[in-house]
Amino acid sequence: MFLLKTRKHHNRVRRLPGLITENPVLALGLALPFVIAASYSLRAALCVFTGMVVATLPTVLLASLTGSRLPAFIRTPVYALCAMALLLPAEALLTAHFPVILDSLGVYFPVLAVNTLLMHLCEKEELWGHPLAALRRTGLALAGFGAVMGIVACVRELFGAGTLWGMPVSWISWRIDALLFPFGGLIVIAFLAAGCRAIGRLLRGALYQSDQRLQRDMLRDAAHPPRPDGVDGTPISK
Amino acid sequence: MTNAPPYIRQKDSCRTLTEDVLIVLFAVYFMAVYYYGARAAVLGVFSAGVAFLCDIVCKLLLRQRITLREHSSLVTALVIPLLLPASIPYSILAAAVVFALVVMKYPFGGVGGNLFNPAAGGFAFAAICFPRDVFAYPTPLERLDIFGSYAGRSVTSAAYTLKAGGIPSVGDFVEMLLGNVPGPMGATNILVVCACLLYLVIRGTVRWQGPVFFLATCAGLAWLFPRASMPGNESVMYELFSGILIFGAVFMLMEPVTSPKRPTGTMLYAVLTGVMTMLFRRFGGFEEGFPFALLLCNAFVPLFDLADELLHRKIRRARLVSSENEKAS
Amino acid sequence: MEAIFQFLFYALTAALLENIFFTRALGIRHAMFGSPREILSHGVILTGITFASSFLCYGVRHLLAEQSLTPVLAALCYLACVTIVYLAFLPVCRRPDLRRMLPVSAFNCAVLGALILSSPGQDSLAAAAGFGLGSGVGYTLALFLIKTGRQRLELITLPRAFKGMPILLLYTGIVSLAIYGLIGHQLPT
Repeated sequence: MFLLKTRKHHNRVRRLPGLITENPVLALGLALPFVIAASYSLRAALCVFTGMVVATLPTVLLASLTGSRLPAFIRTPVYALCAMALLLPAEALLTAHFPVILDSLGVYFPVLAVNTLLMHLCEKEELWGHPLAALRRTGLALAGFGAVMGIVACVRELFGAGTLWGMPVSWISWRIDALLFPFGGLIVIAFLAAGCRAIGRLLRGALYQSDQRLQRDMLRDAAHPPRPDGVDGTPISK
Repeated sequence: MTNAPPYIRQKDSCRTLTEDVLIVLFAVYFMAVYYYGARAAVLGVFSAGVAFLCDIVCKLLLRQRITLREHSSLVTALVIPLLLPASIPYSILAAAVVFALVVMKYPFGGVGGNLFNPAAGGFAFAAICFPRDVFAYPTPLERLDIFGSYAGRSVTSAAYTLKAGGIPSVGDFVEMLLGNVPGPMGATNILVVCACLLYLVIRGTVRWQGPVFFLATCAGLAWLFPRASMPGNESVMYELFSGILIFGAVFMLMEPVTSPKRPTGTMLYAVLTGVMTMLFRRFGGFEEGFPFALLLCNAFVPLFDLADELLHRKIRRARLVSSENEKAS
Repeated sequence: MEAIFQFLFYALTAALLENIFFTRALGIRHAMFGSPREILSHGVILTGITFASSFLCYGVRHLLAEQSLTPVLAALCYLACVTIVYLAFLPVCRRPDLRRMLPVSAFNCAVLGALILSSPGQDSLAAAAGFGLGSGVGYTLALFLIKTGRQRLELITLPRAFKGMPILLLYTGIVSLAIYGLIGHQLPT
């Protein structure tokens, strides 16, 4: 089968696992509570994302260095306690800049230490013993998480509260309060996941159609090669 | 074979069921127009128009065939305005209808696939987002402007007074039966709604077990645990006639897709919905808890059908064993 | 008698009104997969760990009542309590499938979230223990409800874009919307 463009696209997106393909939130369903309940504003999303990065990156690095040496039963508590200890400086930093936001996040900031994205990455055996690969994989996953968190937070804050980054937006005259509640977050993420899937399928379908057209043109050119000379196709006599 | 399946045909189809409901809904709209003027009818037509557009867009996206022979979205679109006051802004009504179809119905596959009642979902969405507009009612027989926002004096309904622990002063029993009390546009005309129930039960569109057991449960709980200091009979009257209890029992509780398929399961479902409705009304955050209770009970429907199946298997097994014992003896 | 009443009251509140799954979306990932047996095992272990940890956390709260702990520092102490209970559960869970499930059931947002949420309102041990038990039981019941929904969804021809996780999130969102009608306001986080 002739799949030149499809394969190029496939190879391109596969180079960034976690960002587009295997997105931790939309594809794997990881770290959902934060995107559902804590993304009611952009500033809250930034606080959660900061905590997620501070807790996850060093813990996954630790896991990649020690994972194979630790017995299975002790790994998870070690990762969780390490991540929670790393959240302490993050909490101090964010309290200095966003005290009210951090207070309103409530339970959603401390539970970053036991989030499923962190546990999933720490338990990936293919990353054990490969710290650089672990850092790259974690960075992409966090970028994917941050992108989804940002989009959802923008939508919910804009159409739920009529503000962006706490500043009122003049052209929003209608507010949908339901977007600010957890069930609103669940519905938004469900539609976002379905929308991304549909767009991905449309894109792949369009590339496949384009490949088929290209193949038909190539086969037609091979069967009837174009004549080399003259305006009317007659060969030029020597 | 030249015909398409199914080859076993029943005289009832999706279309005949929805046509029966549409006929009785027109009767309810007639009373709403009598009390609130032409705005009631225009709200219904507007809602139907929005539902038609949503249908077309969703069916195009889902690559389903667009047909005018299927009316389930029309039924949802006509039920939603009757749950709301006649003074509801058109934008809120449109939001409720769009939510009911685009979130509650089509992601689950469209007709026959929805797991939750779309009208209940649309009302719940509107009640959460716009409680001030949804729970403020014009006085009956006050002629409202067809277009534009309502500028008159809004009043609260009997359901609100009960929620606050008071005794409604809406008038006597006859006034409440005839619908001459403030409340949702279509839900206050108790007499007409009961006549609709009779018609639908006789036609076989609605199984009688659902509404009867549901209303009996609500009445029993209202009699045993009145929300204000009043006799049990008065409490039953006010609880049943306020809000959208009876209307919901007729038009929403026994929706063919979301309700149980078996009689015993239907009874269990109706009793549980009655209990949940009274709990939501007493302890819930809104004066009208029926749509929320219905959505929650829709999630339990497969368990009721399963319970019915297990119960009847036990009965059949017991009968088989006893008949075999008789034959052996 | 009052202790029993408090225990039951907070257990019912945690299981129904403040269900951590539907009202706070904690532990949602575990609802996506699993057979009924796996859900039951996960739920029982989670409930046991939350219930046992609530006793230790109550003790820690009273020991450190004089110290003004930041939320994360308090959560670190609760996590240490969960670790102690987890290590105590290890000899009990000898079957390989339970051993595999134990870390996942012990260290997740639902357990830690329930312990953190139980701290502000509950002054007595009975209330704290009741909240812990109710959270676990309510979470397990929520998982079974979602499993029922999953089974129903498998029988419907869903749009391709919604198959799998999106429709399950939508289903959970609608049930959460229904429960919101009972609460009527945003719960404190």
